[in-house]
Amino acid sequence: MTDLVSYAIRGVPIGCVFALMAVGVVLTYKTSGVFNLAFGAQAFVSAAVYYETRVRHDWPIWLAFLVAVVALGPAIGYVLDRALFRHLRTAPPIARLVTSLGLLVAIPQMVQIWFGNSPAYNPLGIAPDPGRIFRWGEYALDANQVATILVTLLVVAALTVLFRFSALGLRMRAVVESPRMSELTAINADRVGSSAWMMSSFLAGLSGVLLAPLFAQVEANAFFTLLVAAVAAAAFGGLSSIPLTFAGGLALGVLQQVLAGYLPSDSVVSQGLRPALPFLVLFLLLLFWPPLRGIGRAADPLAGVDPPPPAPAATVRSSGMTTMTRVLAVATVAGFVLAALFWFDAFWLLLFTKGLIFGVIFLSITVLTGMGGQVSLSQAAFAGVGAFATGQLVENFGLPVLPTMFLGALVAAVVGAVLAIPALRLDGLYLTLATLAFALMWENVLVPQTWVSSGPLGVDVPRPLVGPVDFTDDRAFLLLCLVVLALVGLLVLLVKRGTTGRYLDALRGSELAAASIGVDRTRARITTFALSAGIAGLGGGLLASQVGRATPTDYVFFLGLFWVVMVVTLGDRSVQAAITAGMSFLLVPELLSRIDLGFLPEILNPADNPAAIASILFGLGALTYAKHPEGILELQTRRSIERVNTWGAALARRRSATVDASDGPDPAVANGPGGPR
Amino acid sequence: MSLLRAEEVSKRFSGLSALDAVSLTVAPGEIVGLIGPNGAGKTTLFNCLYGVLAPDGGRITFDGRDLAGLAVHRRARLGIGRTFQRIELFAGMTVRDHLLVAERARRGDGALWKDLCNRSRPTSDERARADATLGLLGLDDVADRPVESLSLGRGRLVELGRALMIEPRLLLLDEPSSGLDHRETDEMADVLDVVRRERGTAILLVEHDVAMVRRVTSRLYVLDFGQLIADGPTAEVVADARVRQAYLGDTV
Amino acid sequence: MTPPLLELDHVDAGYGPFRALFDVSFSVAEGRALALLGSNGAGKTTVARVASGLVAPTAGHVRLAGDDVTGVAAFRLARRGVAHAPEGRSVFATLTVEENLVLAFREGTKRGHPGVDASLASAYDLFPRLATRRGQVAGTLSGGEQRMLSLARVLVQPPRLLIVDELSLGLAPIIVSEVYATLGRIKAAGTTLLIVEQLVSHALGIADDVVLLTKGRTGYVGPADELGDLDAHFLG
Repeated sequence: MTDLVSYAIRGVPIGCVFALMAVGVVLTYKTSGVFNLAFGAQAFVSAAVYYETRVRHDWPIWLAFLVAVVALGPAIGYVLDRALFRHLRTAPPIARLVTSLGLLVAIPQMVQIWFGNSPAYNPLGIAPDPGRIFRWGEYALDANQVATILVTLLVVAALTVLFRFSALGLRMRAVVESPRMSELTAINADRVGSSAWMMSSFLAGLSGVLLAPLFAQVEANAFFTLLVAAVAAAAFGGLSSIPLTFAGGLALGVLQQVLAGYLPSDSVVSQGLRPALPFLVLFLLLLFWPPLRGIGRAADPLAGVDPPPPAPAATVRSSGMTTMTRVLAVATVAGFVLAALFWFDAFWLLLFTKGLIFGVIFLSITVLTGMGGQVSLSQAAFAGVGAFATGQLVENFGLPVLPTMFLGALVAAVVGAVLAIPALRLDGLYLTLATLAFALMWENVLVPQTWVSSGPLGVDVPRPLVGPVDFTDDRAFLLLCLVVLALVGLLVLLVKRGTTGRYLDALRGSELAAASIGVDRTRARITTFALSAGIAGLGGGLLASQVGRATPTDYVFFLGLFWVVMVVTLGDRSVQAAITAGMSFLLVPELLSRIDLGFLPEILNPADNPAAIASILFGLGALTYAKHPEGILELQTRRSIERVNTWGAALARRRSATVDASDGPDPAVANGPGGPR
Repeated sequence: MSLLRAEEVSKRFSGLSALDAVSLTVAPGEIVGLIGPNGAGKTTLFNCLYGVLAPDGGRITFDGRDLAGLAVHRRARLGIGRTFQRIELFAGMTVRDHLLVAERARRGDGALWKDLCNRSRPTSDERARADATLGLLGLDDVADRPVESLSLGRGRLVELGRALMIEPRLLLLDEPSSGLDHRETDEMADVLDVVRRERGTAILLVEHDVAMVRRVTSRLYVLDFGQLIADGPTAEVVADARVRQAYLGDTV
Repeated sequence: MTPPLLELDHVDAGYGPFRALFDVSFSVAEGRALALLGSNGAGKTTVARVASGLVAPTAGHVRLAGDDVTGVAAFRLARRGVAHAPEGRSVFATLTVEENLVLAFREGTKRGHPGVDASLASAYDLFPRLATRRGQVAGTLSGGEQRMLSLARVLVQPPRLLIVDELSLGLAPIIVSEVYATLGRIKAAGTTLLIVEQLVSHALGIADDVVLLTKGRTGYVGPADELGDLDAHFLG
């Protein structure tokens, strides 16, 4: 009994930390409608600043706290609201999700540029006398833990009061639902929105500083992993109840410690179960927790005030121009392939091939997000499933590599379908969170198992050998990848234009109406998930084969977030955008590494820090999604088409003025968008 | 022999009775109206018939078959079509595509392998059937326009056309004239007449526009506080004193 | 001479590339009721939105009691006494009935303030059905009840200018009559009305002036009793 209590007490401060972050996430969601995946990143910012001032410059606690939390937290919130989220208030939920994903990718890298890459060990807490131990009989907590508990209790109490009793809390809820209708009710929606963001960002900063002492060092990834536990607690509170969220966080922390205390630390169950607990809890909550049922966000009754979305490029393009662009595209690809085959050295050849492979993987996002309208964060996991399945099948059963890759894709497709079955009950945000839980479970629980990965070094996936063709030759392998990419691209196009694609269009338009004509939502969803997972798995197998082995680090879930950000930024509705994204994913960091700006400090110089700078660029790129949900590529395409149309119109006008009036209008003009604006 | 039969259907929401043992029937090829004051339970009844809500008590049969536990899309395949009070169209699709996708769904012909073999383009037969419905509703001139560019009146016709493509034997229409002006309401009434005459489709409609109800329906049910307070031939029900008091007031 | 309460002066407006209003001009004097008539898509709702500040005109001016309020945010106009009940179910679906009603009070949103209590009482008086559902979340109300709530929401604080858009939509005839009787009382108490309505007979029953819109342009602008045969306007 004493053991149990002492384990439980040890879990309380950790639970409070979960709860604090969870409450922050719930607050942001309730007051701005944004599920802020970048919450952990914001916490990291304040933790880093606190460390820099308190530890490296030895500022007093109150000053460091004032700067890192009280000033910086709300300031970040204000900037985020003014620059981004204010303009997203009436945007669809997916735009907000993608924006917070972009921030999640960009913010830690930006902080790193300033904070430096050198490890920041032994962060200090906010307790004035950290060595002091508070004892009750045989139970004990240190000063920082006590501070954490007290601050959490204070915050939870304050927020409960805010929402239950204050006018501001009520107005915040109103603004989330319909900013326009709130304005008609004499509420300054912009100001209420800003205060909401400042408040939730303050909480992010606060939890960052409180959490830091729990880890041995201040590091961005730790904050993200913690976010999953926080999300589980938030789900327990139905994304709305602050006290329930607090209870959820507390329970999770205590449960984790109690389990750790009772299970022998070396048992398989313990090693598997302990890290998996938050993900497992999140997954189960998402599936079975009644408060999350039927929260479908209320539609804004004044959505009609927004301008209609722009017409897709294809509709403003004349058939002549379509042919022209197709010829151009084929010529470009052919040119690149020829250059790669006969001119590139081994390095560029490998890079180019890898770009093609990522094109394949990214097409899986085109299927799921572009066509199915769902954001999945587990695409890296699916690619990993394909890669490891291929490797294990080849190694254990001696199967030939090339057909096994397709078998690996099949395994990934089955995993995708199995994940889709419970995920079917979920929608939008909850589905995304479920895929996140699955991705983390895969990475932390399944990948470490030897039957999956054969250990940290991974499993061999040799290059294929088909009859006389040996794909260990990089040029031959490039051609193989090109063929696979072409086939997968064609497959995606066919599905998009086929019945399945039309059903998905219908479901995205209105699930209710789609059901009313007999479209089976369940079947369409499972098909999309399986297809997407299969494509990712195929790409994963190819990637492993190019390198020669599948290693856990090649398929970490964070990459999956990155990929989604890239694809939706460039355009999730078109095959060429996915391929472009695949190429950019590799080429941009490579090109950046060649830009040597010696006058900049090392950390800002692209040549010295290409990966970080590429992450920032891609992350910030995602912020354009809100304005141009069709993607940058599609946007540019439409703009250039409109420009050509305008020229055509001007040309036609001049011609008809000088030559014969019976000259028909240019076909490009006839199909034009109604002239330039 | 009735096509749709609801027997003693009840539904409660957190203790409040929304429907109290409501029974109604619709025979093949007739247009039946369902009216009542706001909050009387019309939409709840519709949702029970349609499968969005499961009734707490009673039985609903369609063509003799018990509908209990049947998902919405399965009811659609049995031949129950529907339009919505708040218009529900597929954003980004043209009018013709709305009809074609419904036609394809009716045929239940959406196997993935057919997509992969490029064998899922609309057949000439499907196109002809879509064209026939477009003609019936007078939508020919906007067939290739995206639905966002249509007026509400035209949008409601597209919804109706989409529902017609599944060859329904029964149409459930939720306030088909809501938001339409006089001219568009008249058009809608004309179209409903034509649909019933030419396709033999039975129609059950919820409607507030009394002029329209009088014009198109032959029988009427009146709900108030979750209970049927009157039913019978339209003219008689409209003249009923209780109905006038509960619903029509002095406006008619 | 006192300036009109609301004046639209050569207003153009639209949504993105789509233009809904062309050179619309009319004014409403304080205390009068103006009906905006026209077929669907004529731009009536856009006029209502311009008047309440939801949509900013791309050209022209909007004046409120003589002050130029072109492009002024909707919440500022609302604080100056412009109330707008938009078409459709304009309620906050996740808030309770009572929360919907008290939201507009600037001095506080709790019962206990004398102003709040009195206004709530009068709102529940007007729509007794809402009183029985005061603790219920608005999204679970029936369609008609939501319409009542959206009207009650703008009436809790008596506005100077009340804009109502398609009030009769989705309401049973008996309730439409009641609601118009209420509008009559509000007008008698001195509130200026801008009524967008499909049911011409109801609108003309209360309106002093009429503006006819056709495809985003004004047709007849003038007193209601000189309108003459409505069909001639629509057909001509």
